[in-house]
Order: sequence, then C-alpha cells, then structure tokens
Amino acid sequence: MARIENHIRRLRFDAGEMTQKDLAEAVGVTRQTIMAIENGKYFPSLELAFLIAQHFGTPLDTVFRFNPKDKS
Amino acid sequence: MATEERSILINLIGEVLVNLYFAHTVWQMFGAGLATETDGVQTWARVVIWIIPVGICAGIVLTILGRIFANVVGEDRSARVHLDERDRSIQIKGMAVTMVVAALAFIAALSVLAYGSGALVGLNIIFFGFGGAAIAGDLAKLLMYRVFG
Repeated sequence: MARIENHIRRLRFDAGEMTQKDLAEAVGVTRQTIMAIENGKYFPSLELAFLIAQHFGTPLDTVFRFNPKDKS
Repeated sequence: MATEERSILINLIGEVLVNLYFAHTVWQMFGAGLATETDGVQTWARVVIWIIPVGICAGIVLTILGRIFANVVGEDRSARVHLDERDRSIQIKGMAVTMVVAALAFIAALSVLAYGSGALVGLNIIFFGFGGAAIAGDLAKLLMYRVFG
C-alpha cells in the first residue's frame, strides 16, 4: 500500500457519481492519470493535487492523506 | 490505451522493423565480404546514411497509419487532453533508460575496439546499441504505463 492514500473515488461518488473522464477534463489531465492516482500507482504534482481538491471544494488533506506508519 | 501510450507502441514497432531491416542488410553485406574489403567502413557508412532517413520516414508513415487505424477502431476522440504531467514524467524516465543503454553500447564499442576488434564491429555495436536503446526506452515507458503508473 502507498503511504499517500487518496479519497478521490469516494469524492467522485459524493459529487453525483462524477466519472473519471469528467474529473480529468475539469483538472486538465487524461482519464488514465485519474485512474492511476485513484489506484495509488501515480502521485500527482502539488499543482494537480490542489486542482483536484479545489474541484471538489474541499481542503487538500480531505483528498490526499499521508500515512507515515505504512512504510511499504 | 491512452493516446500517448499508443504513440509509443507505434514508435516501438517502427524501431523494431527498422532495426531488423538494418540487421538483415548488414548480415548480407558481411556475407558478401564487407569485413575483408579495404573500403568496408565506407560502404557501411553509405548504407547507414540511407537507413537513417528511411527509418525516420517509416516512423512518420507508421504514426499516420496508426492514427488512421485508431480512428477506424473507435478511439475516444472526445478527450480534450492527450498529454499531461504523468505522460511527461514517464517520457523523462524512458529517456533516462534510453541514455543509459546508449551509453553502455558506446562503452561496449570502445571496449571491443580497445581489445582488437575491427572498426566495423565497433560501428555496428554503436548503431545497434543506439537502436536497442530507443527500443529499451519505449519498452520502459510502456512498462511504466502498464505496471508502475
């Protein structure tokens, strides 16, 4: 498991079941990038992280959370 | 498959085909006695000078054909973004792999020359090494798209 976990999938669900494609277009990336972020395979730049948080209207630490105990 | 990922795959196919064509040509030249000719290096160079632009043209044609094929099989053309920060990050990592393999090929060529091999052997190692480096870089990118990110 990644040390940085994200809650994008839940936030999309809460935002009226927004699709990955809609979120990707809103923040200016490809759908594959959103998918990779959700699966913890890619960690976005700070700019993209803030853009995603801004899009959902939530603070950054609601979208991404650092888990220092998980070292793997 | 993302647009960028598909482009890399098409590039990869082109690189493999050009390298195979070149390998076949060099094999035939060696079979015809290139290594024993006095102007063997010049003959080799004349062939390579033609193969480089042919390879570039083949890559362009394959890219165009690949785009046409993707449109025919129904690629998602509504996507507004085709290249983003993840693509750029993967490109940089792939380029690093290419440079490392190319550098290793150059060192290998210098080593064989230092220990008495002919100039043609060294030149072939450099040429195929650079071709292999491009292939390794593209394979690394595909791996990063599929496995790591």
